[in-house]
Amino acid sequence: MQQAMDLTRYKGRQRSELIEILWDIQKSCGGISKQLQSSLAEQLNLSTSTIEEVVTFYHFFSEEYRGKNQIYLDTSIIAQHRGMKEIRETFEKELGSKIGGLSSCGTIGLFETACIGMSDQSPAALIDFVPFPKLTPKKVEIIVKELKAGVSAKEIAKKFGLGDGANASKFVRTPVCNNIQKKGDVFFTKWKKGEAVSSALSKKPNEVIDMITASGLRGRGGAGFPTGMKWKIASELSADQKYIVCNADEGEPGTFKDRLLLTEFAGLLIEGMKVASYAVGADKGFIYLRAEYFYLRDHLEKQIKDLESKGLLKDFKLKVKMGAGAYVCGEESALLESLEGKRGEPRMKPPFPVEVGLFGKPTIVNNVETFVLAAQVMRYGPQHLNKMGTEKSKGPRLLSISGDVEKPGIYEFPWGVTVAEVLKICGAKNPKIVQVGGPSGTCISKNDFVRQLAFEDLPTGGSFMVFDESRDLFEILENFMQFFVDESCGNCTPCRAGNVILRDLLKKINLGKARPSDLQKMIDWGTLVSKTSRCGLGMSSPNVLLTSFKSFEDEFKNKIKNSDELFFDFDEEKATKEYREFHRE
Amino acid sequence: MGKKVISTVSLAGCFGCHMSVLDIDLKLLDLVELVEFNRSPLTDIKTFTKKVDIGLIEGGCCNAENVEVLREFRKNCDILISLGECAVMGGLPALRNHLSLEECLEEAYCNVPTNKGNKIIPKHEDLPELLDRVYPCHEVVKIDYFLPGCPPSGDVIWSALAALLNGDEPKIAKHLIKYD
Ligand SMILES: Cc1cc2nc3c(=O)[nH]c(=O)nc-3n(C[C@H](O)[C@H](O)[C@H](O)COP(=O)(O)O)c2cc1C
Ligand code: SF4
Ligand code: SF4
Repeated sequence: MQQAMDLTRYKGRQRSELIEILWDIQKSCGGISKQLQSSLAEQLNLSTSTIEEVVTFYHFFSEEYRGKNQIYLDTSIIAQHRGMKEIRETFEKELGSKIGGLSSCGTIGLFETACIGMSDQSPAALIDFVPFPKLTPKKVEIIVKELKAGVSAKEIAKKFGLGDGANASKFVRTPVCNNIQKKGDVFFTKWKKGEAVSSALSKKPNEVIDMITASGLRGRGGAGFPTGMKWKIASELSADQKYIVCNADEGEPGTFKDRLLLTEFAGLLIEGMKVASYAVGADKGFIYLRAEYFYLRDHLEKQIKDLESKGLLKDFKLKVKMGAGAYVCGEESALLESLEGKRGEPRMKPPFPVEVGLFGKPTIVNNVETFVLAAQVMRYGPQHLNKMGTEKSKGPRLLSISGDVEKPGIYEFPWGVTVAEVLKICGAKNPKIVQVGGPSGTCISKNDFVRQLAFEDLPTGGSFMVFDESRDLFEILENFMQFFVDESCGNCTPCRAGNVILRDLLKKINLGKARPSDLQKMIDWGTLVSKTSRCGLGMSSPNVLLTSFKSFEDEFKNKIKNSDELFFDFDEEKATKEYREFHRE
Repeated sequence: MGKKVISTVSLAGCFGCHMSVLDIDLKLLDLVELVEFNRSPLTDIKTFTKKVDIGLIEGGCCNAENVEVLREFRKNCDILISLGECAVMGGLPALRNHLSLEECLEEAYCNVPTNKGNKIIPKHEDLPELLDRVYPCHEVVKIDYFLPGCPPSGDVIWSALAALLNGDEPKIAKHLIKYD
């Protein structure tokens, strides 16, 4: 049952702290009931609906009671292929409940969630926000037994053996593994504390920006905006306050390279943010960390403290702020809304965050990898990046490789590497489909394996999923489209309704019930959704259908029925069954 | 060249779409020059007596009879048009689609405010069997064209018919189907 809680402690707190406060309540009470919402509204001097709209937006907040312990299973396609069905069934059996419900003992909730950033060690689940990678039915039995006996998730996790590197450190202590498979010489150098910051501070801010520009660094979050240009715009605006924000939302299914950076390169990341703050004249910063990476929060805060105590973060106040489960909050303007304590609905652009960002002030939003690279540019000079890659894509790219490969994990490649080279090195056997850049990226077949990973050919935010000959294309596509249906923020109709239409068309095709005109319909709807949606989610969600149709046209056509048909197989028997069986005295 | 033949029918509709056909006003005079009506409530002809060029369907399918009639139309008409929201998407009748049949019948026959103690829900072999939900026509047979609107305006209907009778692809001007 949902716990009661005295909320007077929140009296007078800021609206921008709402998400943190809601996390407090969700964690202590197992849910945020209507009653709690209205008393909180009173304390914060907000309307109840303001609280309600935020609670109902984020997947990890709930109005109903979700249990003392909350289990979230990863529903990504990679997890499905790695046996998530059996894991789910074992949980259901052991708990005596179904997905979405509470265990028979009433205290353990079982739920599903989108990719949790563990595709290299799938199938995985979050239990009270502690990640449990590489689950087996046997492990599940142990977990449930221990939870029922009141052992904490953290304690249970330790029994399965801690991961490597900082995963085993005092502030993390989880069984997550880094899975570094291929080191390059840009990321994987030894960090000398303070080197990047002191290099920057020895130069003028505009010289720092010139170095970033000269390195050719482009944003690693997906869109690839030139980082030097972004910083330059921010530096030239005069404002009483500017912000530096690190986008650590890493929500694109199949991506987990920021997980590694946050674990092993947090110091460099923080230095990169400090460099940015010096370059543009900002004195406040936030790391927006996805809730799935809660287990890294203490670690990040410790790293910030360490650098602060060494005097490396002078005039720069940096804080970690949590997300609460929403893919769209990776979109920079939605992320800022979320930082302000609101629903994570993307803003209209322009104005861009660099001009009108957090609390209306000029704000730099960059991906984790971008900041880390900016720090490396300070240490090794622009040449270090500039010398590798292609004309428009300079430097290295961290790939998160998952799926049907021998060695899933993290790879450092220079931009410009071909898909075929990557497949060879990660040990892909009989690859049939490669999904470059996650569900919102490009779906390619063998014919395209000669292509290059680069902004000018196949751009990617780092997700690289490989599927072999045994996999069903349509199962994969349905999983991706369901993801977009679940994650659309619902603000604009083309995305809210369009993704449902696309998913349903896909189901119809997969069931063998579609007609030739349905293929055209899919293309037309896809084009419409991508052209008329407000933010990148809707603009790119149809990509996977449009590109897979190009790559696997025959597979689509084989599913299509005869075009001359006038009478469809409408099942009258089935449609009238309910009526025939309906009796009433 | 002989006159083209048109048929119309109202399935799970309210006859509003048929009223709209009459709403093409003076152009009706042009229309009857060009076409003859076969099976249709407008002529009261109940069965097809010849091959039909264009069939206009009002309403979706809410019972087995609707399905049967729709299939007959498909058999007898070269071109079939879903006329109006109910035919195209199920329309108002489809509001019952999120209720079970039982809830729906209870509400309609027993719980309505005007009911004075009736507890009987009619069910008889002479009554058409209800479907579990209301289906748009194109889930049952192939539909060639869709005319949106509730009802589509007389102008929309006229412009579509005029094009088809001319042997052209119907194109509806945007302002005719822009509602806000
Ligand atoms: C739906 C959606 C999700 C996104 N998720 C992320 C994310 O998880 N991490 C990220 O860095 N960028 C993400 N982005 C891109 C950001 O909007 C933004 O472009 C990026 O953070 C800018 O940083 P960069 O220039 O360093 O790449 C996402 C964009 C969209 C449209
Ligand atoms: S495109 Fe989708 S996610 Fe983006 S604003 Fe519109 S509804 Fe929201
Ligand atoms: S579309 Fe409108 S006018 Fe036509 S039958 Fe349905 S409710 Fe009546």
